[in-house]
Amino acid sequence: MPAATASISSSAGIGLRPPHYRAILELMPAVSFLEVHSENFFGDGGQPLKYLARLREDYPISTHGVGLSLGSTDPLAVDHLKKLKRLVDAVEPVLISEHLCWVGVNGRFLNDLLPLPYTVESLAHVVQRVGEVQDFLKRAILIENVSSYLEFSESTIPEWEFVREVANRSGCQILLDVNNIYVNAVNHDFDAHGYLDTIAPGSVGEIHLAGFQDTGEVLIDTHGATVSDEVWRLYEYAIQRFGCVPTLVEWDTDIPALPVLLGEAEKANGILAAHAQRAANAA
Amino acid sequence: MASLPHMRNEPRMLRETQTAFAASLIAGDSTAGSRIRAGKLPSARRLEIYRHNVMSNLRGVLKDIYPVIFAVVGDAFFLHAADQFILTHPSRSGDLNQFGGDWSAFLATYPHATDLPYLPDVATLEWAWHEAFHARDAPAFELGRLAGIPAEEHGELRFMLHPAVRLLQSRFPILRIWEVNQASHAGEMVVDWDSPAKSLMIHRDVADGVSVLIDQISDPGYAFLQALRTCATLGEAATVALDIDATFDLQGFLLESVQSGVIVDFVRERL
Repeated sequence: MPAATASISSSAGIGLRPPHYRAILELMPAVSFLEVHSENFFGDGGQPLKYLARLREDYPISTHGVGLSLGSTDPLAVDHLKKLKRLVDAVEPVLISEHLCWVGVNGRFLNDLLPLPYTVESLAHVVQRVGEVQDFLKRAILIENVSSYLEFSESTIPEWEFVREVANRSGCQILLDVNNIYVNAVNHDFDAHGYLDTIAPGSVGEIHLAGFQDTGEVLIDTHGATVSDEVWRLYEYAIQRFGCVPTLVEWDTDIPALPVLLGEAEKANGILAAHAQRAANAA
Repeated sequence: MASLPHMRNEPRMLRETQTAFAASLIAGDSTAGSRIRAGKLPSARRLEIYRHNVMSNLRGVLKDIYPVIFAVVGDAFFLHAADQFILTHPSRSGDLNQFGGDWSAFLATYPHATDLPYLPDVATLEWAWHEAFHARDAPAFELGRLAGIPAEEHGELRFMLHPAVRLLQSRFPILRIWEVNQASHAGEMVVDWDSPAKSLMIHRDVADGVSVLIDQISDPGYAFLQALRTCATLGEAATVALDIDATFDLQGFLLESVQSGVIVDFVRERL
């Protein structure tokens, strides 16, 4: 575990969303870090950046991008990268992450985390792009596995191998979204625990937790509910395998009052503490 | 075989797949279905799920930036208009704060909005609010600097507006429409449709530097600030304002603009 993230590994952080700005400033809850969507702070000034500057005095900040379109075959958007760099320079985030996906092509953005076909060609492309971003930022980033509701026929590599190889070959770390693994395991009928078994301990720099919605035909990664029991169990398994990794609870739709989100972080804290205790006993 | 040493291997298959997938989502058809494994669900249904996600994300962005339009026209109208807009005005950035700037122009030509001719101006106001909210911060005016310049040279100075300042005029009572459709508004909803055209200034509250304010300003005041915006000298801007109203209190307006953080700087350069 890099020293910089050791301080945020023993208890969970929460995703910082606009409806909670004020409540967090008032309550100053004991969370280990706050994660923001990078693009929400791409503006030149004003309230969002003022709040963030204030919060970074008390919390480590992690920046999580949703719009870089790493997997797109369009050229990397230099203006987007520059804005990310500007934010990174201002905030000095403890972690910088993006998604293993594409969000647009041919100049048109769909602004959704679209899955890639998992092929040798895609892998080479993504590895190249992650390298370009890391060179630009002069820092390693983390790449998150996304939830998906389809698989491309041309895919020849299982998702877990693809994720592992992106990290191996680009030198980035993995932001393992345990909820996304569970959602995909159900949607695409694979073994979620087997997925985790493929990922090397040491390559996971952060874990995400969130809630999904079961529509009856697929699980949709809505980030709009509490973390499901199955995902908590998978998280426990992940912590046993990867150790106490910085953990973040996200909530993006139907955002509840802050205490509900903090309650979810508390649950993660319990799992992290139990693991730390077991590790201490074993040592 | 000729080699192209400077060219990376283009991910041709990936590009084809992405192009076909995006085209299918936008068209709402299932032509990209052949590239998708069916499994438990037909591939056409899987495409629909993604199309729904894409559309609802972008609708949500428009709803966030244009809450007054949403309040005025209601759910069904808004969603129909939003869908037309999304399909004809592609998002061009991974930063969704850049999306939706053409909404006013779109509403001006949207056939179902012809009975609501004020909608485009309300949308312009909301976009101006959005821009003002995210605009660059600027340090307060340093009055000391001005004091160091002889009074007879003041007319040659070019005053600069805060980057958040937006100016707009409408023949419709859009400020009143905006006010009565705020979630915090209590009291009468009456809008006086016969009120004269108004000049508005959107800017940030000097007290906290971040809250966005919408002020009604006088027509000469509006003309004065517009002139400053286009780099006119104080003397030139004063002439424009006084041509509209010879009794305009220029000194008072200038002072107020400085105190309220609307004017933040000046330069002495001749252009």
